Amino acid sequence: MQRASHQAESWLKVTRKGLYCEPGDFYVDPALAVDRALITHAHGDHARPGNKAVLATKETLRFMRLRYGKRAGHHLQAVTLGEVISIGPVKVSFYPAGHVLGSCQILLEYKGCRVVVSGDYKRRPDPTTLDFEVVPCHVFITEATFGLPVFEHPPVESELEKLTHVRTCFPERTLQVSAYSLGKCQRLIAELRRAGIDEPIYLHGSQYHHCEAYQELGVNLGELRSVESCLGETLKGAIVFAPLNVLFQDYADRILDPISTSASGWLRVRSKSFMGSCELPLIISDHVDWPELTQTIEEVNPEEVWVTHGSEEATIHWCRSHQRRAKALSLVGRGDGEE
Amino acid sequence: MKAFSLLLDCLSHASSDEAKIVYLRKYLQDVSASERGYAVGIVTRELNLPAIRLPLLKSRLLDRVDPKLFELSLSFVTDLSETMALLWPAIAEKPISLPDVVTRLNNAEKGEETAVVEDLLNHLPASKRWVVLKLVTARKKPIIAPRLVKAALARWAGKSSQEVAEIWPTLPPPYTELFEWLEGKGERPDVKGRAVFLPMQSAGNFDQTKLNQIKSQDFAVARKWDGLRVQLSSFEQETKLFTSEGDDITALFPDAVKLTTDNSVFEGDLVIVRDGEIQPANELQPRLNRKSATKKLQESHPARFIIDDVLILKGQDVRSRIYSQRYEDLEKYFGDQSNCKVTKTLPCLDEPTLLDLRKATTQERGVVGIRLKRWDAPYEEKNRAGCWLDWLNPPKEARLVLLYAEKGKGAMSPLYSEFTLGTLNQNDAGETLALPVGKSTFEGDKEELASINQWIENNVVERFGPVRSVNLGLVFRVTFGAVQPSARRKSGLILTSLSVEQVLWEESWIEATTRQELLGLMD
Repeated sequence: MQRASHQAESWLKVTRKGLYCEPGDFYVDPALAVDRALITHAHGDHARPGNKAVLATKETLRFMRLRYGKRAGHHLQAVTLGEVISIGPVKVSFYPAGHVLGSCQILLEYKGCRVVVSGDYKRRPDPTTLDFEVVPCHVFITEATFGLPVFEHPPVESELEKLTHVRTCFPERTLQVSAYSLGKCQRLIAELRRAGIDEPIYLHGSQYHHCEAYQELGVNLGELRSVESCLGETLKGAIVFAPLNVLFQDYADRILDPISTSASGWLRVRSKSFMGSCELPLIISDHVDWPELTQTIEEVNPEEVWVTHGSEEATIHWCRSHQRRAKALSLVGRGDGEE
Repeated sequence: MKAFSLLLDCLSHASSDEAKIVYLRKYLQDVSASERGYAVGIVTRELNLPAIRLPLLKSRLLDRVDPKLFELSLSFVTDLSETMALLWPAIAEKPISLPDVVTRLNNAEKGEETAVVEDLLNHLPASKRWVVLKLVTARKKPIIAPRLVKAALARWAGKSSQEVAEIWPTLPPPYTELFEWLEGKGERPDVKGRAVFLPMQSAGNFDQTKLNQIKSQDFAVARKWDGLRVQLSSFEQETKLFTSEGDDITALFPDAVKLTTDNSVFEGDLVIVRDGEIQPANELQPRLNRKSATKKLQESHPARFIIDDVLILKGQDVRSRIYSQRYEDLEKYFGDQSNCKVTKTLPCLDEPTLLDLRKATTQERGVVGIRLKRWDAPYEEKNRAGCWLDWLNPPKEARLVLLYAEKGKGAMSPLYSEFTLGTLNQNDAGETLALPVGKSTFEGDKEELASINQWIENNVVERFGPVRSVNLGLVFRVTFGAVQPSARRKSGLILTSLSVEQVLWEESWIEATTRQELLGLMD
């Protein structure tokens, strides 16, 4: 008898446009615009503009509209968590992934075979999003951004202690934080609030709008100010956020001798933490680290793991040395020489 | 140990010297007295700790982690000790203090050091495992410059850093008496008869456009030797040799400190002299890179001390005397001592002569220019209003190709910043080869260095311990003092005072300067 996971390769394919479900005629997180797209979360590498029909959580749709306006999609359909929707013969349902607000894993069921597309996910508690839910399945498609055993994110608390220490050393210097506008920025703000920092936090325009959306969706981030709207205010000792691609030149004259800060799982490795020449590297990530990745695979306990996004080699090696079937998602449908 | 690992973390990412002082000062304030001395001994590298062999420890790690995952991790992280720190499986974390770590390492029986390190690693989280591995493997370069440590100590205790610097060399880690004094619990340590280090005066750069505003008869003009600026401090109990940063290099140059002086502090240049000729400054490197000077090294690289100033003479502080008086003191004091000499001032009458003098020195081996000292100026730590000026021979330029890279620039730096550079040469078969002509530490922009590192990681050919050979491809614009023959190098040439100015990302390595072209730049 054939394994259910083996059968999945006959109806779920990796194409140029992205992961394609043939019997349902839809894509999950397509890289190019398509007729029908299911979106795990609103980050740019998963949610592209220009799709005709889009199925996603209301939060994800809200962020897509914020980012793409009318180009978010012709027909946007919001799904509630756990609700089962039939697309042709395929049943689809969404479960929290814990990555950013509205992020989901998508379960696809067809002819008795269950495939979970995890999208990006994390297991650490995050005040801005729902916790990851373990969904039993035959095939688990996992990200492996931090798929190397050197990646073990320290507790957020110890990273915030580091931040507090540096601020105590330099009470007059502005803490200048680089962070993605969606997810990382709000998570950091929420963690700062949790650590008892309740002063106003200054944000760059695009981050300010994303935070507004978060607050409207019920996530409390405390008092936020847009940097642009408080010209003339001194930013001495304040916390100022800007997205990674925005240089602080815009208001460089207002920030003297800033403490440049960034937050990422990559900063765990010292040689990488010097690459961006930042003074306060915080090891805080929106992705699972290695212990959480391997633990998740064990909890989900699928027949087969398909690995994408990152260090596939080490993750696949781990799976195989733990008697689990695994392959790189990019090789799905091309045979793996195992059979 | 938490505070110390946080300190190292902060220090390695600090954006300025001032930030480093602030971090260290905060640390001194936060931790207990028992920890301070060890910590300071570690960051200055004055504290002796046993060294362990990483390969041995690595094989112990490989008993416990999957070798394939180890290899994949190492190729990503690139640094062996960091990879090991990150992958080491902790059994159960225990609170271990810094003095604990130091005591356990130093009390380890011979041959048991690795086992002690292993036990420490078993009970510490990754960031602290990294600290432990750095303690037992890192090289002797200080983690932060001693002058910054002294500044932080002074600021923390509310003393003058000059006073701290003076007492500093007389006490070994963990500096108990020093800390007692700094904390107001003890007397100022008695330095009578001990070799003190006095803050050194530095020279400014001579501005050639102001040549006509200078009255050359106001200045003592002397050759600027291609050497290391040092201070020799000789007192009843001991004689010590210090770098301008206050690093104690006595053990490295016993041949230069064999002076029969008494209660005096002299200053000058340390040079390597072979066959009566002063060698380029990088000939000092083999001696600076060791922990002590072997007899063989002293013979192959004989060091000499060329004296040009005196701070204390026979117990009398002469820093307030003007240079013409101090120079006279020097000449009177040193008749013909065998292993040191007083620099000769050059006759100088008017401006054109000054220019001619500078030009004439470009022809001399071991000379990088001229140094001007005001005859009527006392010795001062701060170089007020250009009392001392260096007029260096203008540098020459070349485009050299990167051959080898090594991590460096502060013992904790994870970046490749020491580069061996090469010139192109055709062999008999007509093939173009690159041959090394010198080594230089990159001192440019941090982000540029990060890009260079990215390139190096993608282009490693072979590993030789800490050194990586790389594909031919990256070309640097460099400046240097002179081209000199070097029998020990395959190229037969060495470039003195080599410094990297710029990375020529667009340039093909085949466009680099050839050996023939370099020969043409020889004086």
